[in-house]
Amino acid sequence: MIRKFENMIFGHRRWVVGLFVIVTVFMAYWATQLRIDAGFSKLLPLQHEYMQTFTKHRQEFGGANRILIALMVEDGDIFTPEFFEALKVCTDEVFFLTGVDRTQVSSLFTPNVRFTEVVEDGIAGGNVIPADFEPTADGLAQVRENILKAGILGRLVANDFSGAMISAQLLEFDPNTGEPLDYLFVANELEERIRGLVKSEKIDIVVDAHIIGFAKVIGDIADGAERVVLFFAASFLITAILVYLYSQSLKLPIIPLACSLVAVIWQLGMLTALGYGIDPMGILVPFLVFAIGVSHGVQMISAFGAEVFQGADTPTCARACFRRLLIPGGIALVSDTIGFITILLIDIQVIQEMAITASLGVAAIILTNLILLPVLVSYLHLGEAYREKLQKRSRQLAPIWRVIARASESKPAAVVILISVGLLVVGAWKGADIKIGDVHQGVPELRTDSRYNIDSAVISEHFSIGVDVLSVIVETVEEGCIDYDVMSTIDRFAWHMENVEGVQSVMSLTTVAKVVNSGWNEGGLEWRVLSRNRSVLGQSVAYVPTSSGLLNEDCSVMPVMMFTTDHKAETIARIVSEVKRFAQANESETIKFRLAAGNVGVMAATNEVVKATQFPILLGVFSAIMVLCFITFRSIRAVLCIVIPLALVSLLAYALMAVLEIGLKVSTLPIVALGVGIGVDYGIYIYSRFQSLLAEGKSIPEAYLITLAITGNGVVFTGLTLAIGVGAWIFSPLKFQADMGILLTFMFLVNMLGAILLLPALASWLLPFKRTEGCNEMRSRASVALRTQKQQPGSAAS
Amino acid sequence: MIAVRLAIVVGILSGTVAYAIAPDEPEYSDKAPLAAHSLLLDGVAIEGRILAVGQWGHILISDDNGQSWHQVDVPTRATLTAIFFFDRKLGWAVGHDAIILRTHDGGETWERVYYAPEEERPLFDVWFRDAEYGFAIGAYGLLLRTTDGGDTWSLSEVGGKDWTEASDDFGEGNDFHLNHIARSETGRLFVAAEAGKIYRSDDDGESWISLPSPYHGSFFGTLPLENDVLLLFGLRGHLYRSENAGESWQRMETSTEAMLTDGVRLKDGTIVVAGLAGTLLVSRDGGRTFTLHQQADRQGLATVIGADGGSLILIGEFGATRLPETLGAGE
Repeated sequence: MIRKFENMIFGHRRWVVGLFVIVTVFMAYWATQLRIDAGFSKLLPLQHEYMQTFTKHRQEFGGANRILIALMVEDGDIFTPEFFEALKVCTDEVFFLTGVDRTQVSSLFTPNVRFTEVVEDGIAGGNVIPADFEPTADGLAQVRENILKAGILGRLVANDFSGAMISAQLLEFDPNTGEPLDYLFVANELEERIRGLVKSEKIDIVVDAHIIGFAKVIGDIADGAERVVLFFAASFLITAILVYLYSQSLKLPIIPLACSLVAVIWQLGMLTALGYGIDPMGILVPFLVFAIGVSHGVQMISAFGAEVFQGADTPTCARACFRRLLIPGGIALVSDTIGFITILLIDIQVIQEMAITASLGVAAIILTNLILLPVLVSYLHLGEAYREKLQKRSRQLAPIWRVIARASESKPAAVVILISVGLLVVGAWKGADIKIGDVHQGVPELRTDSRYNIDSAVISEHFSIGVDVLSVIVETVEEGCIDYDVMSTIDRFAWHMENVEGVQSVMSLTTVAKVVNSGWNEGGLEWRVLSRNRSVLGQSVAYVPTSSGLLNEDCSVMPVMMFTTDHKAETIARIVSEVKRFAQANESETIKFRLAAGNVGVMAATNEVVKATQFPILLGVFSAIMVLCFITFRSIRAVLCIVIPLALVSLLAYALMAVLEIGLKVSTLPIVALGVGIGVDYGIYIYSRFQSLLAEGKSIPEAYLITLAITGNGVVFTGLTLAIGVGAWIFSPLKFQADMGILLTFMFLVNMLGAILLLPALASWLLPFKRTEGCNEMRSRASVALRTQKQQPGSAAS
Repeated sequence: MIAVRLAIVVGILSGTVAYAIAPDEPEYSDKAPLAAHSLLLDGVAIEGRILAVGQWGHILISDDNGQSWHQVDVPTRATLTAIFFFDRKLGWAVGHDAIILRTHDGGETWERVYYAPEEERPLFDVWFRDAEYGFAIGAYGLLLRTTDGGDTWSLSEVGGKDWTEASDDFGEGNDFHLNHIARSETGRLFVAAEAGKIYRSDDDGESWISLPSPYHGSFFGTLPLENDVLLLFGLRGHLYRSENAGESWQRMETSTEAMLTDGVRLKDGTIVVAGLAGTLLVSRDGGRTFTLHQQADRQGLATVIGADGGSLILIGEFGATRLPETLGAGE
């Protein structure tokens, strides 16, 4: 079978190369058409119960898609003619931003911001900034009074009068084009038209604009993601240098690098061809594909080198290593793919896209690195000098392999296993501390000291508006807001939640209705109650507009907004469980408390999805690997030798996350699956060589020493190269990329160690033969083996 | 400016004998960690113990001068508006749903003695002459009277037989909100009411007269001082002083337009009148001149209590807090 395939490929080398070139040209064309594709809904686990509620009421309540722009003065307060002019100009500008719902813009200058006050014969009211406003001392003093009366201090005006806010809602669709709103465009407009405006000459006062909102987050992530190209370049260079050092040839490294690049081009091209874009959250995936490509490419050159060592001509060598690696390489890549595909279990579109992107990439690698690469290599002409270089380096490295190979001797193996058991215990102990969701303040995708997170910290410091909101949607009967029983239950709920640790304040229709009721009664505090009388209650809610987001048109739906102190997973879990407890005790036919909306509502759903899928994903990845390994090696023991190190590394990765305070969330959960997929490559390559040597009748230490010299060499090299390449991500401006970088570096390195140390140790105890030798005898035999292997060209490359 | 006439829904009473307690089992107020930081409306200091009442049937007790509070079980979730203690043991609290609660153990446990939610008339204040005889007053002229320590209550009215039409410029009868009741050291009872009404009784509530009013806006309290001197305060910073038990009034300068809600005379004779928007008016000359001390947070004050050591306990929108330093004179 493989022979036939081999003849087909190598018999038509020109055709094969030609075909690859043509496809690559097409793919490259498509790849240049690739668009960045960010969307709010993509980040939501839409099937989750909370998000069903969220989606159901999204039209009415606008979802979580608000933009807040705070203009802050450098010193003093906002009561200067210059500041008011600045605020007015900016408010006007916000009205004309793309995608802004013009009915929902509010600032001191919008007519929907009004005040009321109690006078002897009733209530008086007006716009906070009156129609005849003049920016004189008197006029400003009047506005100051009105701000206090309107109760907008802390919402539209900073608590210490050091700034003012413009708030706007974004529509889902661009009203001009009917297309889904382009958030990157909006983010860019915010940057240019608002921040730019504030800095321009039109405004003759120094104010700082602080802008927050989902559109801005996406914009900042995309900006950060663009810089990934730099990391890619740096990584490419580092990898190229390392591959050169490894292969001792200038010509040779070009091939695996080129093949891996081709795989990336194919992947990106296929994305466009299939109608996908690339999400800023998944921008690292092509990078990962490149890394995996290099890893397999190195195995190919390593095997190729081993053949060259024996003295055959390059086409023969290329054919030999094609034959040898097609199966283990294919199995390893299929395992990777399965690893990626299990991530599809996470029912969040952005993650599923990531899974598809990665799977496409790995599929491309199967073609480029297992077929194109050996074909290209067969064209190479490597002289006698190259062979000598290889021999020289082989001699230099031999002592290292001899030390590592001792891991397969029974006593050192026992030590390795004992250490691993120790690590297992530590991993299980620390790993149990892992937090689901976000561990830190601010927008988790961005670094704590990013512009956005600083802006959001400034806003929460000066205003009473939390940026973290969890809304519970109360569903009741039509006109529920004039039903005392309904309203008093909501009121009790709001108060109950306000008492939960982690809830900063609660806003509900009942809060407003009570204040309005007091307003109808001369403002007396003792009238801050809900009336039992339907018409009196009706008076209390009649003037609350639906744009407040506190009720819908027929007031059958009333969200209760909880501003939380942070969005740490434990805070969210605590609040959610309290909501459920209250709901269970107080729900009836007429009133239901539904989770959830608001950014924290989304996080609550996401955390629950992550929590629910983390074990199925691992289970899926591991069972797929076990099945594939079993099919390949036909031995339970082989499966154990390969899988146990992987499992240990996964556990240690959990422990690392707990120690480094990296939460298990949408951006890190895939890493666990990806890491296992990559780790298994090492194990499969090593075990496959090892097994074939054992089959030739060699003892375990002998077989392992030779395996190390040929395959292990490549594994160690790949592990180091990828770790260094991915390690560069740690410096990414995006927090989630940095977290991924740390985790992947760890996975690459530790999986490599697991494969070269723990795998042979397990083999020496698990495999049934040739284990009972004395230590000295074994060492001499091993050295003999190494010498033999060098003298008679049985295999080795290094 | 748009002016909107206040719509007042007037409840009309049927009969003169009040309803008995509604038969249903009372709902108990929820215990909440933040109870001392939510809307509280009245408080009382009695022999070293301070009690405060407010929203959702909260009753809180402090035995350390307002530094810490504990919430007790109360058989209602109605917002409580007033509390009165006859001695260290016996006390009453009233509120919305026309609830009247009684305690015999200094506020640790409470029983519901009156409750009429269907009336939709809240009670705003309660006063007892002795362990048996007292009044509870509230919205739309509601006046309940007991002669058996609160076991039974009967409807009464400030109109009564001596009702005078003298200053009844609204001509709407006697259904104004009765906001506050206080007794002077000369034994006169004063009731501050809505729309500039002020009533006085010289016979412990057997008969009432309507006093001439200096203002048509609502009054929320009186503070009887020595002899027949008293302060009267209400809407939009209006504060009046009378030296003849309310026969004539003198307007006091307050420099505020905030609603004034409560007044207290401290042991050292300092007078403090509190109001919305963090208003504290302080007088050190028997109520002849006042200086404004506005609290920075501008939160509404409902009640001010003089605590031991000259400190003030403020009760209001924010719950209960203790002003540690005594208010400086004059500045």
